[in-house]
Amino acid sequence: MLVERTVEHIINASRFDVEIVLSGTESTLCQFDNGVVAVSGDSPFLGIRVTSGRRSGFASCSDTKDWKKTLSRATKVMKVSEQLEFKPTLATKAKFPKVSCGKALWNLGEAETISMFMRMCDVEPPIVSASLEKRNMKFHFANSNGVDSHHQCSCVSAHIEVSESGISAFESHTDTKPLDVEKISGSAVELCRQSQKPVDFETKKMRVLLDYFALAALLEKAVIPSFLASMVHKNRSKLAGKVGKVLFSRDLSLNDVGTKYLNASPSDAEGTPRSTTELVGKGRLLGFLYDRYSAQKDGVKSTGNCGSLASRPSVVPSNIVVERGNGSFSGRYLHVHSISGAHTANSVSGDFSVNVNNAFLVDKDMKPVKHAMLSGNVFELLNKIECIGKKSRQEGVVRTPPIMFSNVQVIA
Amino acid sequence: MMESKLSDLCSEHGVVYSDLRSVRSRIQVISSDSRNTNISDTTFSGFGVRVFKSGSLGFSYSTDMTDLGKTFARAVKIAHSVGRKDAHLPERNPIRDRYTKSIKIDPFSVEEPEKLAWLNSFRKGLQCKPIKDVHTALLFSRVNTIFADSAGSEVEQTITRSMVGVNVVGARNETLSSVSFRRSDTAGYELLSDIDVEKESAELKKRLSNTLSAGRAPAGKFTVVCDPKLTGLFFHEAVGHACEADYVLNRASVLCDKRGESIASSTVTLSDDPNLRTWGHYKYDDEGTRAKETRLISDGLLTGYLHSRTTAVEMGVEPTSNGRAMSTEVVPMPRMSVLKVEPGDMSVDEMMSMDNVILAKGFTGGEVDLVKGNFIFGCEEAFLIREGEKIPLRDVAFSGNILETLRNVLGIGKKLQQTYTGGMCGKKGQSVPVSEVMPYMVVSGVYVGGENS
Repeated sequence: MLVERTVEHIINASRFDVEIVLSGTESTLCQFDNGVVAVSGDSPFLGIRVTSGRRSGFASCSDTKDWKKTLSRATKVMKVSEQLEFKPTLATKAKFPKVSCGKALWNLGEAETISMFMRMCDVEPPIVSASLEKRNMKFHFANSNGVDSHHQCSCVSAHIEVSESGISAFESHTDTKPLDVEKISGSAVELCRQSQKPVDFETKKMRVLLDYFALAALLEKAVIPSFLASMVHKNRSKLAGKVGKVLFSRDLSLNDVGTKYLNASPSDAEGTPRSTTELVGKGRLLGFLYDRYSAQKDGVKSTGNCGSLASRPSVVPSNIVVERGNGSFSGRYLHVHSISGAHTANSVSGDFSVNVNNAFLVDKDMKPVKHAMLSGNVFELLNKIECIGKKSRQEGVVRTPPIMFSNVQVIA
Repeated sequence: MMESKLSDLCSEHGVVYSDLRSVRSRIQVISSDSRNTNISDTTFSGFGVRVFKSGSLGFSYSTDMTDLGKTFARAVKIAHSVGRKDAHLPERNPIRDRYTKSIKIDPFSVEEPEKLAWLNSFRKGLQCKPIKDVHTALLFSRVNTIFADSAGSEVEQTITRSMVGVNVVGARNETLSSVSFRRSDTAGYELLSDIDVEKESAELKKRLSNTLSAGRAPAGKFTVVCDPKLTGLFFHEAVGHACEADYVLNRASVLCDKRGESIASSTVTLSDDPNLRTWGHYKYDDEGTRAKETRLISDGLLTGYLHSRTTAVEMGVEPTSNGRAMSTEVVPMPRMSVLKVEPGDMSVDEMMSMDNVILAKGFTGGEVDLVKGNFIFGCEEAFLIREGEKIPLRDVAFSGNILETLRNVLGIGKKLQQTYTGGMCGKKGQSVPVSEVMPYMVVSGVYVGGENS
């Protein structure tokens, strides 16, 4: 009731267009720190954006009772702000998609969460790091156009890294369904054992299979930014002006799916219904992701990808889904479980150099390899797809199967 | 006041020791690109309570101080669910102090139009070919923290930080590239008046031009001359994190069991000192421990680790004032503050006179596998120095092994520089402000990610 009244009070009190985000997160976080450490608490958040003509301002606070001061700060900021490129508009009333998210986890208590974490940590090899967090999140968006969207979601994330003889391996998973924590720790232990006694490798160009973690990291840091309209408008996307052209391997199809999977919700941060946006179809660039402001600039509709009221534009992906293939992997190749340094890739040019972790030379058998790097250009890499796997999984915003690439530079 | 409330709650719940951190903060961000300007203003107030009961630790947080009793009880319940028997803190004498880092101009007293005008003046100098976009940002933060514990300590600390960031994207033919400028400090609005906008704009244009005309680096092993920013990144990511005692205790660090051993070239001496008044400065850490210098490497020997109170008691040493927490929602853990490498005896000219070396400046990021001891760093600007020529390279990444690289340090520069690149260091999902005071460094046997030469 307090929440409903706060939103109503803010809309009534503002002389200008106003958008409000009210959220609350209840979290229980367990970490392994030479023993179990657990933390639990609630964090409320109130964000207000005030818009008048071509000016807008944003303020936020952690105490919803402070809404008057926060509204006043947002209004002050709006008045002194510079004019935007054009007059932004607010979302209008629309039908929101039904999204079910984590119902099975909502009532999982603190003691059960801690016990789940302890089960995950019951492994033989020493634990390097481990964490498990269960979150219940409530979102309420409203604006002075009468848009009113509620959403609640519960999810659990687990991560464990183990080591043996100076070799480590990790496994992690986030889901809106209960996790099989023993399976997660079992996978990390198995990978760590497989990675023992690595052999030297040589610098060469060869076939490389990027598994879920490796591919998701590379796509998220080096490729996805180029699909954001905000980046196109800032001349920071190599894909600008190329819609309709075949830029990637014909096997590649990419969509942004806002109503299913991990980051699903009925609306984005400014009250636009979430939807599915086709980005790449059979190698052809089909479009970009938009919030309302960047969409206005291109004379198109928002794709429901606004990430925050704090700035205009603010475009973020929801779930980037790589279409599955039906390939199976054979012959001689380097199988890369994960990479480090993906964030050092140049998201503007696509050039990257990354370290491989838990990589195996697969031929007739499977040999773990010592320190190696992969180097190249990610846009060129997406033209070297040889085979796409059958099974997908999600890491962060990317949901992808493993993909085999040909002629990749490996430095050892 | 607060410590007596905690003491009462401890008696009520049979808790041996408890401490509380309450935080009030304000952050203002002003950002602009070629078309739009955004201003956001955020306030936060909240607190976190840590309890030790029957050898178990519990922690809970809230944003409503009237909830102290409820939050304390929740922390006790968590401690009970965890059911450890070995968690405790050593006793210490109560500390009472109040510290405000002095600044000249309160950034929140300066009106936004003046701040916007300053940003615009920077942008104006960058409106030319081949620049395609300029992103500028100002960040001002003030964090007021009160630490209190049931043993009678109460410490209040207020620190103001200011940061300027400029990122420029340029294009030439099919090549897109970007370079950045950053200045950050525990300072007020005066930080801006110390910046020569014209000079920095010219420098950005020159650096952008270099990266746009650069080719891809040759792949292989090289000797690398690192500027103070990249030296800082190496010591922060590869060495500083490996010295954090929680990693050492979890046997997740390549520096486990190496205290007292020679781990680096004898030219290397490294310390962490929160008293140095740069971006990462504080007088008290988030467990109320008074800031002090900690020597990590002395003439190549590993001499110590960075500790919070909990890791210090586990290793039987004194806390090193490095127990830091990003917010009231997390338990403090060992973190760096301001890293410093002692100056050596090599001049930059001597370093640059070496043949077939890569001169690397600035960074785009880094990542380290502390267990295996491998690292990878992206550098912003690089040149291959060959037969007296300085050939620009783009998107260069370096990789190597921490211990091998430390032993391969050929020389340390004579002059220390505050790198001003201070930003937020991420660890286990938490970010805290850190900074470095560093010299140039030359190191051999570093892998360079590039194309086959």
